[in-house]
Amino acid sequence: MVMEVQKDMTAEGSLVRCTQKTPESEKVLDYDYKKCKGCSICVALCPRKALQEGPLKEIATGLDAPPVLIDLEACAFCGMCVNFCPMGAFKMTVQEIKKPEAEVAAEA
Amino acid sequence: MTDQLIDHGTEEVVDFRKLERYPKLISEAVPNEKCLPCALCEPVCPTKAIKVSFNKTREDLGPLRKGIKGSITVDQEKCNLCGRCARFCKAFLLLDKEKVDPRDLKPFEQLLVDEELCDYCGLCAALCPEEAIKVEGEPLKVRPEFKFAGKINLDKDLCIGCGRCAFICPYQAIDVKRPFEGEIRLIPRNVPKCDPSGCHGCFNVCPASCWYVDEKGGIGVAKDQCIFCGACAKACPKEVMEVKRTAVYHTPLKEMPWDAEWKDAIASITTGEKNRPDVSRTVMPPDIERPPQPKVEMPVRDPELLKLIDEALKPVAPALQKPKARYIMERETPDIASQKIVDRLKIQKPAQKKPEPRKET
Repeated sequence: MVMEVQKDMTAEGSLVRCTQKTPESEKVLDYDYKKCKGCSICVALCPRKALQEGPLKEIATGLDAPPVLIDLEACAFCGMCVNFCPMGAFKMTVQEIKKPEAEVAAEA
Repeated sequence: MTDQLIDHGTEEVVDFRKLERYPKLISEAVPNEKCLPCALCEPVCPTKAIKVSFNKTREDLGPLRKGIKGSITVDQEKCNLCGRCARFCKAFLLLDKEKVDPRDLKPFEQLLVDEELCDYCGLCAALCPEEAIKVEGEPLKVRPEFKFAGKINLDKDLCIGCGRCAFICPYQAIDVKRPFEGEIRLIPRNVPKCDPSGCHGCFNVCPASCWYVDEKGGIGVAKDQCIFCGACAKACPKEVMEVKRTAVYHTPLKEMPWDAEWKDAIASITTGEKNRPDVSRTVMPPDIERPPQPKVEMPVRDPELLKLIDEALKPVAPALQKPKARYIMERETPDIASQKIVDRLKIQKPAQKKPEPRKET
């Protein structure tokens, strides 16, 4: 059975919201770039190289842009950036989805 | 059909950071039993993670009584500007300090009393932890159960563990857990390039507001409050500072799928790079089966014939070695080339009757 993965990214104000839907779970990763100071700890830490530094020097002197850019295709929603951001700029919610019993039985 | 819809019932939405099976960074400040609380740490917190609230104000106990004579004095030597009195009564005013500097965290200049707003009730004297307030006059009678009490609330999501609240606290009432261990230093050869009044990049990004301009106009950093996040070093256009992390404090890493990945990620915080190559998106092509190359058969050599050719070429060899002759040979078809070379031989040396090259025949 092919796993269906749907990914989506939206931006509103300083909040970048990435969502991933699979038949098993729904994950929402929020990156609030106003909280982000551009330390780039997450960039080095990301196991999928899904995070990239923005123009940090320009941002530090006034440019309004996110210090970290997210590659939605590469992101695995593992949550490492969420748990190790010293500013708490990342947040993630996880919603496990119960399979209907009929489907579980069919797979078995 | 409806049954199926009910089966699809979803479970609750969980905050990933609250899941205990994954390790996470520890950065927190926890008030201990010594906390009164007072209100000194609240304005000092660079991320506004601290909120102190009190249960009562002077206004809750009725309006000011009129026509009461008395006196109130604050012993500036004893006063540590904790702000309990100012939170209780409007007669007190904490004068904000003009310049904020991480080297001197005290947020206020001094405590002033506006006697216009004071009816010498004397309640403030009791709530001052340093006994710095002396009031003479007519004490206000309050119910015996009256108690001035406060609550300190520390937002864990906002706290970065810089420890400023603990530095300013006069009562050692806050225990701080810092996220990283490390070192921050200014690079001497790059410091002259720094323009601390013009650029301010490090000031803008530092989450702990550690940077200051000293008396000589040079850049400085309060190392004791730095959390070693390294944002300043990334922001600085002149590479004036360097940040190294030597330790990361996190909740325990449990045995689980992908625990090696987590371990690797945590290691990258101190090393700055991933230890293992990223193979997550590398796909090696399958091996291709190639048929063996056919063997090349060398043509058979006839030594007799070779000898004949060599002998026949001998007389014209010097002529053929001339650059011009080679030039013709390389550019013309064999027929035209041999004709041209023969012509040249005839022109150059008509007297010497050279035998014509055998090639022609």
